[in-house]
Amino acid sequence: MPTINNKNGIRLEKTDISLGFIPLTDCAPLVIALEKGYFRNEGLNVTLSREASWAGIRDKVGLGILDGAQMLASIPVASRLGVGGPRIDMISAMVLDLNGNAITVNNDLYDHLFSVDPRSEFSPLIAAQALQCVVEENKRAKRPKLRFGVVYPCSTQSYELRYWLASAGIDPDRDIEIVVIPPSKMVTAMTDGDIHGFCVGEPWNTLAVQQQLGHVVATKYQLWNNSPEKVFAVSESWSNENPATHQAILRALIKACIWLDKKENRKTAAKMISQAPYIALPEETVALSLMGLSLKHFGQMPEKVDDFHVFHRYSANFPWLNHAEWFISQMYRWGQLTTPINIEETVAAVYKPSLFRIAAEAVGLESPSIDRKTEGNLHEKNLLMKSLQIGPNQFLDGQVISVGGIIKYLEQQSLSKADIPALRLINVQKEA
Amino acid sequence: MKVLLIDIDDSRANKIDSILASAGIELINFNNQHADIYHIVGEMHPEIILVDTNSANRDTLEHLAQLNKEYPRTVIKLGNNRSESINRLAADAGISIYAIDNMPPRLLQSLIDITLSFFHSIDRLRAEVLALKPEIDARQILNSAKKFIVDTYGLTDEQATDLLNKNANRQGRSITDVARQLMETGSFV
Repeated sequence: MPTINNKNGIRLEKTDISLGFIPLTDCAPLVIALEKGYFRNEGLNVTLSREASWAGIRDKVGLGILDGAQMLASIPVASRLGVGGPRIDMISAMVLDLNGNAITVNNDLYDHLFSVDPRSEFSPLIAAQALQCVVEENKRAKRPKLRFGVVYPCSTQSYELRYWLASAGIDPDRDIEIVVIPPSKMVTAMTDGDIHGFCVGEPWNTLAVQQQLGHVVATKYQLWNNSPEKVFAVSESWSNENPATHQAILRALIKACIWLDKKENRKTAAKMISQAPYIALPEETVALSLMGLSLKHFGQMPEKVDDFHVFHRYSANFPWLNHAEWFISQMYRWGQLTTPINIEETVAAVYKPSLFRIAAEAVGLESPSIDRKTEGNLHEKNLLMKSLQIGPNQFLDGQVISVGGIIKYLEQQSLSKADIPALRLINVQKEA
Repeated sequence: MKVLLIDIDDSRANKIDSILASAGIELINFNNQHADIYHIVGEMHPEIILVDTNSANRDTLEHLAQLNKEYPRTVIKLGNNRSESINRLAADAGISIYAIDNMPPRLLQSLIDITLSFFHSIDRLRAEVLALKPEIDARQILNSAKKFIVDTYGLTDEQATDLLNKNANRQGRSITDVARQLMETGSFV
């Protein structure tokens, strides 16, 4: 195989690289790495390929048509397990962003929630409880179930929507109907009355509010502070064949994420990613959430949420193994995964902190020395000093997951379909 | 057996239709941006789905496969083997294939081969037509220039050709060039 030395003297196995992305605000790291020349500086000639579906991205990476891609953080894990699609051995060495999604309901449903409890306006927990009343009312009146849209069955958005519903005792598989609609058609589906609500990434929530179609009742940040959203993923075989190229891509993406996380760059970023080859929506729509402004209700001032999109701070790019464990816990909870597996081994095969550490060190960054951390124990008010290494990590329902305690956590989850005894047999608990 | 096509344009679909119909396969072509995939698949129960690799409807098909084990799911391997043809189907023809669980790999392989050969021949045809295009364009310009001369100066066809040739020779340019200039500017020089 021919190798080429890039200008830093590093031999790359491959320099013509094709990477897939979905037109969403958080495709930004890929776009910025290209537009700001971070890929070029690594000697990479990158083409970005706009894709229309997550299934398409997943298969193209699996078949080697794409070298790598932006993916929902849950996809490499689901693919490794063959959940909701063919089994593809994918790995991810880097998280591209945290937060960024939201749940929007249409005006009618929002008015209904508001009439049940006006605090639905600002409290996701209360909005979910109000929704539970509406669901019960509909059942008694024998009205059809409410329909909610997500973009992919095993998606972060699906798990977030389900988490929110379940917090008020709504069974997402019985009490409502969840349908899959591509992000670009989500707002249209709401206009047409096909769905009453959706959970999707930006800029689609902002667009729905700006078009006065609906109201945001919860953000991903409120459901689980600083949880992972998109990752950069490649197939395991590709990574084995192109280790130096993989590292070069990771370095470029880390630099792009550092640049993106600076507040003063967000406006420029909005301008770049809103262009026709990328998101192709008005810059003002894309800019709002990037500037840390969460627009929930039309006509009201957007809420200031500095962490609406996090691209780098709080060790955001580090592929925490416990985050992959959380996705697996939700697959069990909702019956998408039924075979008992060794969770620890599975996540270590998919998320690759060791590969991230090499890339981070090469660009002069320190990485966490541990692979797992406790979740749900840091409230934003308790972090006195604004730390750049650690961010808030609270769950909506106040749950805490200690390191090694994923099964104990799963056991406490309501409406769960998980077979806990079978899981305990295979997974030896290490928790104190 | 039923094969459902999603987001594959009619002209292509019609061609495969006649081939597959002779094998007793029923082909349902579905190329409507606004209809409901849940409804279509639920009503038709296709055994195989061929979908544009870049269709935005694909994630909905994934959801259907997850909701009901009877529905077709993404195929990226045939049996236990990696399949080069599935890769080519996606990369060259831009088609992804979904099939129900107990579909024999041999049957799938044949279907993929047929589809590939068809799309390859279409692509080759398209390439040949594209290669011919400059020549066809030149001929068209020459003809309209001649017609223009015949209509304007009342000359015969032969005389018109002669006139174009003379001008081309004098200016050291190709006859197509002179014809194009005549049509664009109304003048020989």
